[in-house]
Amino acid sequence: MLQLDLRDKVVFVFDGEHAVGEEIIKLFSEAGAKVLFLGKSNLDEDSLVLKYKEDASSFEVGSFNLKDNSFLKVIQDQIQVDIIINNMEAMTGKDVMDISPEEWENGLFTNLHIPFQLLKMILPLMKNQEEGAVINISSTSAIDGGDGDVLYAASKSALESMNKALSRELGPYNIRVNGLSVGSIPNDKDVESDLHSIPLNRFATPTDIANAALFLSTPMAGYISGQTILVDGGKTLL
Amino acid sequence: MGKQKTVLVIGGAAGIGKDVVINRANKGDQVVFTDLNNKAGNALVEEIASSGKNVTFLQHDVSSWENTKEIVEKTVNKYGKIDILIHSAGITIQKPFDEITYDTWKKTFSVNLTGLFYAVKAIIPEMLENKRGNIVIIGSGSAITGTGGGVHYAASKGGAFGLMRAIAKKYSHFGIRINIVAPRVIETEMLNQLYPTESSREKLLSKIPVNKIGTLSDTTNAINFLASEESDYIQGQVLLLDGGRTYLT
Ligand SMILES: NC(=O)c1ccc[n+]([C@@H]2O[C@H](COP(=O)([O-])OP(=O)(O)OC[C@H]3O[C@@H](n4cnc5c(N)ncnc54)[C@H](O)[C@@H]3O)[C@@H](O)[C@H]2O)c1
Repeated sequence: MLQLDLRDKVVFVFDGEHAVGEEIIKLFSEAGAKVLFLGKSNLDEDSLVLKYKEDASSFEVGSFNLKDNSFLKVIQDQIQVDIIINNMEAMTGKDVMDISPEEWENGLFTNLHIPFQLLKMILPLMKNQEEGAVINISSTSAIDGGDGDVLYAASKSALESMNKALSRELGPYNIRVNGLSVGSIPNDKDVESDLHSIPLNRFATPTDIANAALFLSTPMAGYISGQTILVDGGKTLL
Repeated sequence: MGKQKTVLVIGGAAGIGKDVVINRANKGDQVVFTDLNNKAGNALVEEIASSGKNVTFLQHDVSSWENTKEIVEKTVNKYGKIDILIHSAGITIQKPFDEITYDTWKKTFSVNLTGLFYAVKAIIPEMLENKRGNIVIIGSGSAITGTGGGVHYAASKGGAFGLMRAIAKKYSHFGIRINIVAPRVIETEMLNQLYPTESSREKLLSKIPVNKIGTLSDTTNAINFLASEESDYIQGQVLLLDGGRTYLT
């Protein structure tokens, strides 16, 4: 039986204001879930803005500090999170020699430090519920080096290793931890010729990713944990 | 194994890096090694000097960009080039997830991943100038299995995989090779702390198909192989050094 019903579930999508995040929110809302997400406007350690979306309306819940427990205060009426989707993404598009220490540090902050600290804050709630799904979105860059952006590739492979370690620790609480390794979503630089390396002969769309995330979030993926699933049109065949 | 090489070993005052320093010095290579631990670094210089060989030690905090840049400059000033970089510096602050503080997480990354980024960032221009270079990173099986060290350790070591592949992608054409040796358990001080009793050792051994805990010769051999011309066609790879444990048990 299909089990894509997420009524009564709360999903926390870290980055809700970019193409992929928006699509995830749309799809999960359609499946009945309530959605929490971070406002993209300011990624500041001291004040991250949390937003909430139910049915068609969304509003700001409040802001919190990454370093203390103010997150729990902010979500006090909403102390349930069933699904976490980490789709934070910073890239430099630069050569290793041109990435400054500050750019590197900012990149790690967005890609790894914020997600880690959010997981630390939310996982105790999930543990109490004895059920949950965590999805970290990575990239085929972790495997093939992408366009050579060390910050991006390193952040993504770090997440894939984190999935494995976390899945071991959280399995006993019935929390599944998985990843999606996403192939290229076209940007300005991508050209038709790049398609040769993709057997399905098209680039990924945000919907491809949201669909896979939805699957991993439901009981249909109830025995899948510690995995990173390639959503890349068949490009990476290892 | 060919002629004398200039080898920079980062994190070379103890454990896996130290064994490589001794081995390379005995081979007659020009060895510069760095470490945060000044005392252990100087002691190793003495130890090697007593067997009639010369190595250079520079104190170094890998989490400082300025410091790392300076290390590479000094090495190049002394020997004119760097043929091989062996990156072994790393820390393990073993903790269950609940007990990993934000500071511990960031600290682990600043040494294990940012330290590696700085080293590569500093050395690539030098290697480009020579139109060749070989980088061997000491990674960890934890990145593959998620065991050992904890979530922060596994993640920080996992970061090395993507970094290595992005460098391979970009610089293979320029004569630069880069690979990872990923050990699981190796006989070091750290292992004695993790497995202090006879029975814990036996339990560990029972999980390793080749019935042996890895030795420092095992890591040094693997590192030397990847750093040599004998492995010229190996690029962007992770060599898992685990006695068969990961896939066969
Ligand atoms: N020993 C094992 O079983 C094992 C297994 C898997 C991976 N590793 C990896 O191998 C590498 C070497 O490990 P080891 O067992 O030889 O450990 P070790 O502790 O004996 O040696 C690591 C060295 O790095 C140095 N170091 C730490 N922080 C530094 C900093 N900020 N700047 C400069 N130097 C610094 C230490 O002083 C030490 O001399 C590490 O990267 C570790 O993650 C070891």
